[in-house]
Amino acid sequence: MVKAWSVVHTWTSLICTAFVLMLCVTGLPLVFQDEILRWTAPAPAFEDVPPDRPPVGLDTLIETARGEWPGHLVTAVSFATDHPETFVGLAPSWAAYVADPDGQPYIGFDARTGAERERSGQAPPPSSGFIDLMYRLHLDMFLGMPGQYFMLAMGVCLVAALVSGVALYGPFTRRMAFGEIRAGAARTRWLDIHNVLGIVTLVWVGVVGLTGALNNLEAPLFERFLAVDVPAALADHADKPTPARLSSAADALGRARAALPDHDPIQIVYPGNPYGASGHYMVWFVGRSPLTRHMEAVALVDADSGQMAGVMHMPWYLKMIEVSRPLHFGDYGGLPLKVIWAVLDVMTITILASGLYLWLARPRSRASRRASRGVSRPPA
Amino acid sequence: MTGRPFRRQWTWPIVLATLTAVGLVMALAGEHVLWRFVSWALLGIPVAVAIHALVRALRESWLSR
Repeated sequence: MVKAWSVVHTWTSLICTAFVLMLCVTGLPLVFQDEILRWTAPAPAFEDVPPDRPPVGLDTLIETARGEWPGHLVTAVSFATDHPETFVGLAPSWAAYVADPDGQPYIGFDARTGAERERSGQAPPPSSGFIDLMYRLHLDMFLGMPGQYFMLAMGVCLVAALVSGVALYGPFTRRMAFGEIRAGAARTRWLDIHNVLGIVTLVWVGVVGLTGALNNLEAPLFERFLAVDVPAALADHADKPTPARLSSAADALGRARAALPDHDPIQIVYPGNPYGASGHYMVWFVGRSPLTRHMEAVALVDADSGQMAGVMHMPWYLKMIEVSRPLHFGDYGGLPLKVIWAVLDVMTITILASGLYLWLARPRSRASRRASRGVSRPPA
Repeated sequence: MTGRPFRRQWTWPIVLATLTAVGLVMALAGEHVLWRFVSWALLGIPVAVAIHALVRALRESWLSR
């Protein structure tokens, strides 16, 4: 049995080691991406505003943006959830927007004062290029969905390596105290450190690996949600044309907020947007707690009458994946949790490197194998 | 395997695995700083054990040269 587990552990580990190593190395800066971007390209500070000062209305911000690009249509309005910033996106036409959604103009406002904070066309800081590179390598190695499915397969290999590693931990450490590092040959010492670090970090590596694998399913399932579930829910409103004169976006947001308490808005998709509804504002929300921060819900508001048309939540399988996302990113418990993530990431790199060393320096004969493990024959 | 060797071998791994699992979930339970402190403290124990083991191994390795 030990022999079988050993074969499983060796080969599943060998298959995924290079990729998990790459994921650990690229994941390290991603854990601190907010801090890196803040340190290298600090955003202008928000001015102090008296708490009793009424905020500038959303409709005013939208009109200001339209005034900057006359003849353009508004595609969407987005909201930051951790600071008071509102972004208005525009495009010369829906065809131009579909052709290049990321290349269209936008403007960011201080949501309280209406002061402009940023706009499209400004060069991004060099650090954001580095973070983007790390992110794409980590996500799919620039291979798109095939890359994500490949990472999912590597995640399955990692889980098999962990399970078989636990099965081997018993026979390999039967006569040792917990945490014992034997003196002697380098390979014996690295076998012990591989076993100790492996068993100590087991749950963290398992959780981060499993949730990372699950994250690879998020994109196709979310696309299915947008392509199948949302249009099905919109079927009753599908033939409603885009009104010539839209009702107030601020009023639509207010009604949607009332329908989804304990949620924060992240985006209003404008009527006529190919990624939205023809006759409705589609207002996307996320939950407020660490558990629900990635769970999205959408409210539909009639763009003609301004009345609520319905609310839709994510299906259970997407909710399950979204709940698991913070457990992969480690971004839900402040900077100390990120430091813990980083240390455990480095420990995982050590486990992978020591595992590779143990395989390269493996003894070739059965007798030397037993001697190198330092394990006496188990009792019959 | 008799009870005593099993306990001797698996008590610490099970304790550390439980501390890690509870620590991971605690910070998800709420945004109050208390949940975060509990999470950091619980996750800090396996981190400290891992660092201690690694430092000891590296020191042994250096001394054996």
